[in-house]
Amino acid sequence: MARAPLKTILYVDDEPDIREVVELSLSFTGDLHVHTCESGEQALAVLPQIAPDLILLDVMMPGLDGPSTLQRIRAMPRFARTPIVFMTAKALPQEVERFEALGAAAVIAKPFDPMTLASQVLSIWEGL
Amino acid sequence: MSSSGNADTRLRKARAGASTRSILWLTVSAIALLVAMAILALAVVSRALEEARESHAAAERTRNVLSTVNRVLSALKDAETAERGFVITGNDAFLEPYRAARRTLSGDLEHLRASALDAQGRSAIEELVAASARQFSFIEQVIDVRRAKGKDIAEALIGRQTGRRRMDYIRDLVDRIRAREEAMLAARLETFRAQSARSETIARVGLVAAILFVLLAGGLLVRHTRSRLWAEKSASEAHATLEATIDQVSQGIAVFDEQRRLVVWNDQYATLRGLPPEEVRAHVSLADLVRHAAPLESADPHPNGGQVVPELLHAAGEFDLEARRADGAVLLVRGRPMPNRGYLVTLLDVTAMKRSEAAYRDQATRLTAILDNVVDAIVTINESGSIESWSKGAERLFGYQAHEVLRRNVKMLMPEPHRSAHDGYLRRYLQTGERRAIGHRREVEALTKSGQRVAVDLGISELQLGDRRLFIGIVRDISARLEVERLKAGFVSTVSHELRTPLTSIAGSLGLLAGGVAGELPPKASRLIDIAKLNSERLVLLINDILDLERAESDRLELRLEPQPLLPIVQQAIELNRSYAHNFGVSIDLDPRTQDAKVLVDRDRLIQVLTNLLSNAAKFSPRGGVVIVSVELDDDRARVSVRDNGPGISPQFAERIFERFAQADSSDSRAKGGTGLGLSIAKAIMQKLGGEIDFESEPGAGSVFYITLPVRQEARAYVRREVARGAVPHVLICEDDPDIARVFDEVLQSEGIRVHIVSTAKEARVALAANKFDMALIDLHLPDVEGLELITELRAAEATRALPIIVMTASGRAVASSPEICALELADWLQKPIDPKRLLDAIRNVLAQHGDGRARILHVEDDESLTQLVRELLDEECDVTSVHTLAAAQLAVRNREYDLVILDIGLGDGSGLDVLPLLRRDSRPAPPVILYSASEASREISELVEAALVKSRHPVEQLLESVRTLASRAS
Repeated sequence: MARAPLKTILYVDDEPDIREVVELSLSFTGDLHVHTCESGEQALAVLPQIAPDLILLDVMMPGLDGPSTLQRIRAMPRFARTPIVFMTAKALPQEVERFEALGAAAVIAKPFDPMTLASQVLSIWEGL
Repeated sequence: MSSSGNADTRLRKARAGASTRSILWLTVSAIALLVAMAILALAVVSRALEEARESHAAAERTRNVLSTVNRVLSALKDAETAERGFVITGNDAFLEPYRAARRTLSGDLEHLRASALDAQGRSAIEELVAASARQFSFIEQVIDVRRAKGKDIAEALIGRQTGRRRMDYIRDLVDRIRAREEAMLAARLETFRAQSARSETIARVGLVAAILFVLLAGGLLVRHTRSRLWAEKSASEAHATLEATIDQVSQGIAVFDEQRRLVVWNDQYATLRGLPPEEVRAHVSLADLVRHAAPLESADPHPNGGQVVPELLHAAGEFDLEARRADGAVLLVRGRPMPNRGYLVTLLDVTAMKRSEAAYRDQATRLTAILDNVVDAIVTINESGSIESWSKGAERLFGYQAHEVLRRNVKMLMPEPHRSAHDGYLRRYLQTGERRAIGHRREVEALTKSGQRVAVDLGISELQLGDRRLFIGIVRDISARLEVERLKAGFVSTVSHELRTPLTSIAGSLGLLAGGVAGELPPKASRLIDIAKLNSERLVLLINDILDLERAESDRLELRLEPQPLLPIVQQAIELNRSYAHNFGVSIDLDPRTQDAKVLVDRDRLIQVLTNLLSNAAKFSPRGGVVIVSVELDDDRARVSVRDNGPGISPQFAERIFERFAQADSSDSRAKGGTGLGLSIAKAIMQKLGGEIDFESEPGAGSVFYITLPVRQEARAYVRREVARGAVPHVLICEDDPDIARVFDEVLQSEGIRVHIVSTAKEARVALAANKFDMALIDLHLPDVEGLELITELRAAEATRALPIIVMTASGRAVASSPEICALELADWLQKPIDPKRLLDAIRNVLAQHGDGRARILHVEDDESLTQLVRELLDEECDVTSVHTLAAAQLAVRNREYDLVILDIGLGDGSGLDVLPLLRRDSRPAPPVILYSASEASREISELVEAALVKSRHPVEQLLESVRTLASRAS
């Protein structure tokens, strides 16, 4: 599909260690700009400034969780069509379905392979 | 055994009684006759003797009379002679004879006179006496004259011949007397002779009669004696048979006569009664017998208390008693009066029976105690499903007391859809032996008295009792366990999430380090990082497997069951594992003889199982080995086998191979990888899929792991109703309000529907009788009769029994669910004020169901936008009736037949599954059902329907595709 190359990603996760690993992994292997946030609320706040091509959302977060954050993002006209990928440690089949039904582009299970995470994200991007 | 003669007398008596009486009479009369004959003979003889004697006496007298007469005559002659001599001689000596005659004459004459028998005789004799007297007096005169006057004068006197005349006269007299006497004698002799002859005749006749009679009596007596002898013989034979028989009987038998003396008995009687043999003899009295017998105590409470039982025999009435002998033996004593006033006593030793009865009772009590103390509910039902036993556990679990459920159908304990289906399950099992519930435990829902659904674990086993088959259900309340499981599952899920979160960082960091994010690592550090990375990966696998296993075993494994061909799944599994096997230098081949079958499975889960088998086979095969996969069909099961030529499985390991963390040796997990949970998960998944997993192995010669799955049977066939199509619908409207009627008329006419409006029930009847209508709209409130009354009447009539009827009412809809109204099979129920659109929908629905040959689909779904969408999308091909509540769905399926039902499970007023039992009507297969719901249907439910689709996974397009496939099959 003819689509602009993926450049900027916003990663939202309350776990700082994972944020760092993801940021390292994506920037190291995928030449991507990764912005991270520690909560859904923060993500909503910074979204207009960052304007990412794709958003990676942790599901279980205090405050706004992944799905709620997704709905809020979808409510923002500018980001209503921005692809959102969930990252979750509870990648049960019915959960995956639920997320996809909510409008998630894909679900990536935790723990992920840091060396292939970028290619995974890129292939999701390509597949959209 | 012994007996006296009384018994045979009695035996014979009844039979011989009547003939004995007649013989007796005959004998008595014979004897009486003989005596009479003897008396008669005596009388005849004595009479004859008397006659003889009389005749003899008469003859004697006659002789006497004749000799006397002769003597008289000769005396007279002598006197005359003497006179003559004297006259001549004058010698007095000549007078001597005269004097002698004179002396004798008077005596003889007296004698004669006495012997006279009658007047005639007497007169003759008197004449003779007088003549004799006169002769004598003449002779005397002559003598006197001689003496006085001499000889001459005397001679003169004599010469006058008077004396001669006199003598002649006397002679004549004597002759007369003699003649007379002789005649009399002759007459008498004649009489005697006649009498003798008569007596002889009488005697002869009497003798002959007597002989005849004696002969008769003798003959009868002989006959009687013979029959008596025969009777005695048969009686004695019967007696012998009786003796032999009662000796063979295990009961003790004793018969007493009227005086209660022993008459007949057998040895068993003496033995059972504990009597010394010498005391048991004929005619011994009951009292004596009892004295010597072992005492018996009445075993049961008796009006007479624990009295010695045989004393009761004196009562001579009927009795049946259980009595305990001193040695503990229990006897059944029975007394019966006999028709001949005798008394029969029988004894039966029931000790063994009592003992086993007591043992049985003990066992039953123990068993009941156990059953009652078992927490589980234990329920027994018979072949018709009726409850036969109900344990205390069942009372606790279901809340019903035994008396509330016994002999009622067990389905009362089940919620729908099992409630309605249960009779069918049972019937099918009894007919075909097809088991669903019997033999293995499963989790189902039970319905308690208070209407609550309780999760239970149900195990059913079968019991053959004689010719009856019983089913024992053991029901355990698992709601607490499920709650624990739910908590555990939540816990495991949370924990695994919590474990994965740090693992994500660890594995990620290690991966980045190993990937060179931090630059080239020194070799030593690199090796350590690799170890850490591998082990973090292993930990991730382990957590995944634990989660899988936990889900599988806690029954919360999500299954997406779909009927599908098996072979493509197997092929996919092979492809997915080919590269893994390649790492071990192993190839995977599919057996070319492999067959295919349709199975109801969750594709991903089946691939998971096959992957486990394939990866195990690859891991344990020698380098260069080949793993062979085959699919075979056997009756109604499909079998997928994975054969390797590895080391095989030792018998020790075989026992625990499906246990968690089972590995042949602890080094395996390191050497071969894997968590040791794979087969446990595979087994749990296979159970959920209704299949089995097992293996065959020969150590050293490789193993075959196989799974079996039930083959999905071909979809049920169903009947399509022939419906005429193309006609203009004709609708009767019965509405008394002219304004409403006019609105209806306009609305319907605009739709091309022919309308006939009436305002009363009476007019409706007339219209219905004269025309054919496709349906009727009836206002429940009519001026003449209540609408329901009219409908009831229409349903009773042959012509309008099936007429679709929509009712209109101002009152609430709640009444529509009453059984009486359900029985009227109303097509729909419109509430006033009536929205014209709603009216049209209702009429279209009804006409769709009745009007043409398109497939009729019932869509049960509470999401109105979805029903609208489906209706719009299917409108071209099918008639779709949409209902949004369980109640409406139930009403709809009661009233109409559908070719297909799309069912949502979660409805506002209940579970859509409750519709399923209603679809099954007598003699007609149920229409196919597609479940289209938010949640995954269980395997059991999936078995009941044609397809089970999940909204989140199957878009409406897929639903429509299923519908079209099934609908096209329908028409």
